[in-house]
Amino acid sequence: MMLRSLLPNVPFLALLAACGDSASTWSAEREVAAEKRNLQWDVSTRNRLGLPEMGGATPQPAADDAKAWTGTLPSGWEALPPEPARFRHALWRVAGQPDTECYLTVGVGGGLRQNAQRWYGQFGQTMPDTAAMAALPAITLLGKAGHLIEFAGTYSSGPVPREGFAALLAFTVAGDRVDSVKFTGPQPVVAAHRQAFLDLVASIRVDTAPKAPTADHAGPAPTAPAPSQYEIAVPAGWAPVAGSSRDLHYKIGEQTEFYLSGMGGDLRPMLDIWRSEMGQGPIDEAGLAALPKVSLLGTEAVVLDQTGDFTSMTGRKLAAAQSLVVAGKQGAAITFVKCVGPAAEVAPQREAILQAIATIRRKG
Amino acid sequence: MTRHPFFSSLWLVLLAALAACSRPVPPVGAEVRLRQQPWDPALVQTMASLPLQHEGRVKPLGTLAAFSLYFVHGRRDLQFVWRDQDGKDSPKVTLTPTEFVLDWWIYPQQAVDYPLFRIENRQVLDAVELQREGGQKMDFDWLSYRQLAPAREKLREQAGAIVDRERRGQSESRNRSPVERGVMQLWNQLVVVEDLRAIVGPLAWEFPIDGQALQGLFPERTKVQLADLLQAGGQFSELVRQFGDKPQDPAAGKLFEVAQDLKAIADEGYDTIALFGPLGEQQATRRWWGLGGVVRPALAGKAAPEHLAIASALQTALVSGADVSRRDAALRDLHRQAVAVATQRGEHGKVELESDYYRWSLHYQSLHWFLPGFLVVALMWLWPRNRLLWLGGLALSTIGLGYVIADVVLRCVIRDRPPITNLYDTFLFIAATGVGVALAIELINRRRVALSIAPVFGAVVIMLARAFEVEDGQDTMKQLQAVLDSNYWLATHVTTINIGYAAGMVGAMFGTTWLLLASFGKNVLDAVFLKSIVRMTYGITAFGLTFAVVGTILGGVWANDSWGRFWGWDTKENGALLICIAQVALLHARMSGMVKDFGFCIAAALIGPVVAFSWFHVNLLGVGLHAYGFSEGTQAALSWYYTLQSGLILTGVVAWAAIPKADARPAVGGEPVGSAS
Amino acid sequence: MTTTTMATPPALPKAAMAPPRSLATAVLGLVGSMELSVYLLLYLGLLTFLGTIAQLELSAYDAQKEYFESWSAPLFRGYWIRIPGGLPTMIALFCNLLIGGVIRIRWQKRTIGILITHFGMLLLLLAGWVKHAWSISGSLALFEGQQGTTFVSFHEWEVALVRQDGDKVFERMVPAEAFAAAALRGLARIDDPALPFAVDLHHWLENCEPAAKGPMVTTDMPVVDGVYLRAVDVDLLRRERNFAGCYARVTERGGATHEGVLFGWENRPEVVNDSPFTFTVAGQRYGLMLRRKTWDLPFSVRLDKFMKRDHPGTVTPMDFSSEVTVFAGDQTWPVRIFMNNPLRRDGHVLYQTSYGMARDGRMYSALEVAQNPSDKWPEYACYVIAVGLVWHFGRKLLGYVKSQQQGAHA
Repeated sequence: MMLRSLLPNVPFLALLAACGDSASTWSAEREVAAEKRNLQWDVSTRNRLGLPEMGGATPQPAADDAKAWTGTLPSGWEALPPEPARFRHALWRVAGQPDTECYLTVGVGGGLRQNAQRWYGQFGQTMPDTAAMAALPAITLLGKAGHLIEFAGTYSSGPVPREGFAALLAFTVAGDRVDSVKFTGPQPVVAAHRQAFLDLVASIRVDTAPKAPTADHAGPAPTAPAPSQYEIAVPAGWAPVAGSSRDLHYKIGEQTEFYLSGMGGDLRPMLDIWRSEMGQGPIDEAGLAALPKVSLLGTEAVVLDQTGDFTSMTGRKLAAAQSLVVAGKQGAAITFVKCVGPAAEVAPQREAILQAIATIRRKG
Repeated sequence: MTRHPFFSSLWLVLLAALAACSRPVPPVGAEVRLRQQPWDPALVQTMASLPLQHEGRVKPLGTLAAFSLYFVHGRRDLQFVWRDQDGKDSPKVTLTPTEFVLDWWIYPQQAVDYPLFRIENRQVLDAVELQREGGQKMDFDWLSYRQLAPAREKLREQAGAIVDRERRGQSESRNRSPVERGVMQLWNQLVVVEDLRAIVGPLAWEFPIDGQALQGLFPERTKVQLADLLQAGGQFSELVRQFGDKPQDPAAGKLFEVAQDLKAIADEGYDTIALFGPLGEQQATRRWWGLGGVVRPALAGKAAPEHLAIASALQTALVSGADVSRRDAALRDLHRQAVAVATQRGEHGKVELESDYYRWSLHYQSLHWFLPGFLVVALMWLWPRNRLLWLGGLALSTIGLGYVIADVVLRCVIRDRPPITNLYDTFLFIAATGVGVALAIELINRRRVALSIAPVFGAVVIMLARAFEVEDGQDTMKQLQAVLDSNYWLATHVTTINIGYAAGMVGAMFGTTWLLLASFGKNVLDAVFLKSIVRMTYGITAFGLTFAVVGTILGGVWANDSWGRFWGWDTKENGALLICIAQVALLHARMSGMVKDFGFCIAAALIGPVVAFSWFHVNLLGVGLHAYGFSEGTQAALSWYYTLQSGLILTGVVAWAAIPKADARPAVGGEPVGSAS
Repeated sequence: MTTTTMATPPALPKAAMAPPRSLATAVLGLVGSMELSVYLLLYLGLLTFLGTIAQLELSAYDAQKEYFESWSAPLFRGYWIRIPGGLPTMIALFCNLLIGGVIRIRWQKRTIGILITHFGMLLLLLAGWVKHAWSISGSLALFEGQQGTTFVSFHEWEVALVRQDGDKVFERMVPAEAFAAAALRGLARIDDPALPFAVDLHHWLENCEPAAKGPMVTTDMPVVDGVYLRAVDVDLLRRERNFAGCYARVTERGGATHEGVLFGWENRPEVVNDSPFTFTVAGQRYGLMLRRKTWDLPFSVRLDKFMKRDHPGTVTPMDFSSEVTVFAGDQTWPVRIFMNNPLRRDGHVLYQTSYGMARDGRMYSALEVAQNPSDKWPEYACYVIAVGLVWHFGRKLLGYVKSQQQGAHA
């Protein structure tokens, strides 16, 4: 009986002894079609680890900022002043077609892979493999050989997807840096101006003239960012961001951005997006109901206050960040104030930020 | 064979339970009393079947009202007395859930004083800085909406802070402190009550008729209400267009303010509980509208006449609090219109049936048979040879079983689903299965033991079901999550495994019965009789094992088809496995002779807690893919069951050891008990 | 008495006259004994209970690894006492069942049901073993329009050594579990004499993030090209939220070294981990990358349409499904994958398990891919066991009913 009751342990001990460590070596070599891995070789350490865009610093070398680019304006087009802050180093559109936009972007980091994925993604497509990319029609841009991609379909770059859109995109790659000219607009308009676009691309050159005041450009008066419709009382030390496309855009401290914006649609999906930026899942009914409420422009708005690691929709990363969003529904659209920065900067300013938000008024 | 301490002690338990049911009734100051007459029961019944959409399904108002009241109030009805200025109390007033909702709609100034919110933890009130006079007299306390309202913001802040903290991963919801749980609970309760009011909310608003424009639209009125504006929606929009370019024109008066308010109503939606099924072009929309949804079509002059009629009828009822006949006519009109809309959308089908189902309350009625059945069975043991009592007990239990089965079948019909889709369903199904199995055994061997167990098991499980229903306060016919949406697997795996649970529980009762009888009655009871109980325990264990094993593996097969793995050692899966392991080990231990009758029955009795662990406890752990719900009362009930079952087993073991066995002489009479002659 | 002599030795007891029982028979008897079954079952029950309670602190995945797919498991979490884990228990149970429940049991009419049941149980345990040893599972998340051919593990990491030759990539892997412990303490050397270099992995972090080393930052971690890995608390309950990282030092046979940082990315469809740490040795370009274990499907699927419906007015999903096109060779055909209805093909099964929203707001469909040779075995085992149990206990029940009726009529 003794033996019998001890017995259950025997196999355990035997099996335990069989368990040990093995020396590490590589597995046998496996062959895979290159298109399945789509490897990007010789990418710099920072780019491999997604760091170049950290802190919102613009990636292009400072030298590029001092330069200006120009091209031979096709007939029926107009030139607009460049907006380097939005990576539009030269900007044109088809006259009388406010839906169209054509711009040159130089020296964007991230390599072809990251950029092309964004381009294709905007039309809901997947980037083809490297071989297919290499087979695209050839162009020359700023003296470098590159390719042309043509898109058509629903374009979702802005807040509202636009159907029946098309884009022509000429690009060149040098290491991690990509130069591109992108022309978007309603499909028939883009189709009609395809050749004009190609001519424009071929004509783009570095403007040898000193950076001219934008008013000298041909065409109508420049469309500087529209004067803000809003006013706000901000504490001392907040620095307005010049030339921003956003309303009430301020810089607080070193890295914290503050701005007011609006977007069509419902509040909840937007809350989910802001939450996802901080690595959070969608909000539920109870969570939504429990969000603190404040007044924004006279209507009730929710306060979404999150701390954690921030990754913006464009991939910008900020560790130990705080994201403070006040968002309210104004008719069919959402108006929101967003303030993102290192928690160490935002937290001490939280009350001041909320107080400033409470002072936002429509002008007039 | 004349006296069994086991059964007489059960009487005491029953009496104690009855005594515990009486309770003091809170008073409400009579000065707020607006509704002088009780509601017409026929009207309440009609209104209970008012179709509306809530939590993704079309259901009768009665269902919504009942579960809202359970959730907020923790009871099936609302009781209070009117106390006049001299401190004299009226007779007790009892409101059904539907009556409460009608009061909350039509007599809000009265209903805000109802003792509505059940506060079980006074520290919650301290946490939201709500002052309350007097000390706590009972283990819980009632708060009216009026009393709670001042703490609303504080409550929202605190609840928001808890949610926020958990969202950031700084704490987990299952680790909330009792006060935090209380705060979340109270906030959710407040939201439920406010949602009930929001169905009609904007209809009570008054809009000023100011300026020529509006006066032209509503001659000789100084103010109008929402339904009037909706009726005149097209003309109203025309006015807004007309004055669009001259808002400063004095003739516009308050036109634009009213328009702003209408827009606000449209934006807000008021559709958590939705009364308006979209019609016409919108008929394909699955989501129903609240009042907000009707505003835009009405302003475009395109509102469905039915929707306008519903709004008008509801508004008429709201303003006719003092005119009972007008009020009642309006409510009936509302019901008629709402039914017409639901019918037109093809969504009215099961609403009436569901309303009837709750009115009939068949499982509750089964108690009317099980409890007398238990009584008759108890008498049967005093006069064991009385065949009439045996027949009576059998008949009563069978009728009770019939009610439970009918209840389960009705639920299947209402939902178009197999019998079990949530935890509540398991009670009804397990009650039916357990009683059915016990009665089947009785019919085979006629030892009266199985017949004794049947009504007790049925009554206890049904009472637990009812307690759980109120405690949980959630619609028991809720829509299913996508992963559960498979009638095939619900019918096979879920049903099978629950038959296994039922058999495990009943088997534990048999084992316990043997243990107690064999210990206390070792010198009185016949050995053949006792042996028969062991055989029944064996049989039911084998029966349970078959279903538990097959059900558990079927669950794995289902998981393999939905999650890509057969077995993930998830908590619920482990619970089911524990049942199987316990039963297989038990049968092998008996077969190998490791245990005799004594050990076998103790082990069978211990399977009861194992089943309870798998059936309920793993859900309380709050982890895993199968974690459906959490409730504290359930936790307490489980602790009680574990304690009770261990206590019974311990008692049996002690008695077995302590009571000396008399001479090995044949038991009195020598004839096996219950062997029909 | 001492003088008594006998012509023949005294008769031995009858039992001893039988051929002596060999040790093997005795051991078989013990291993196949029913007592052992009971002990093993009770022990498995204890283990199951512990593994269930442990899930208060652990993810189901970790509890499974620690208690059930392990050789030993902790008796109390956080203490050193360890008890045999699920693997030896179930192996022992299998042997016990095979020997006692199938081989040594009497094959008779009355044991037919038991035998069938035992066969079913064997098949079930075998299926579990085959799955444990040979199955792989991972995820494949797709946006609409995206085509996928590989799937990656949820929790398990590997370091891959890659080189490219035209349109072919050659890769060799080493799983994290083979080097992680060593790379935590010091250097974990991965070496193959056939290669012109050895790789040392060090500073392994189970959860980390890359960070730029600015002048104001101090860190104990190595800094490579101005970048270092910063440790982040490991999420024990949600393993998939951990992003591993480590450093690699490549040492050429000649002694030259290359230093690199490896980081395993988040498992989201918009995040691509495709840029290896590149170095060149003897004119050949190699890459090292840390990634979730990666497998290739023998076919590819393109997500054409993802659909998710909520119950009206709620956030409870009513159903979600993926309409995909399968590409295999020259053939293509459409399939709808939805809850409880996977796509089975070429030994792989694709399940609709989840969905998600990318950072840019696009929805994606999350499919789980499993390759499990014993995929359908449990289902067959279920039928076999059901038949066996019903046969066995049905017979017993009929016998009991008959005996009761005879008793009643007697």
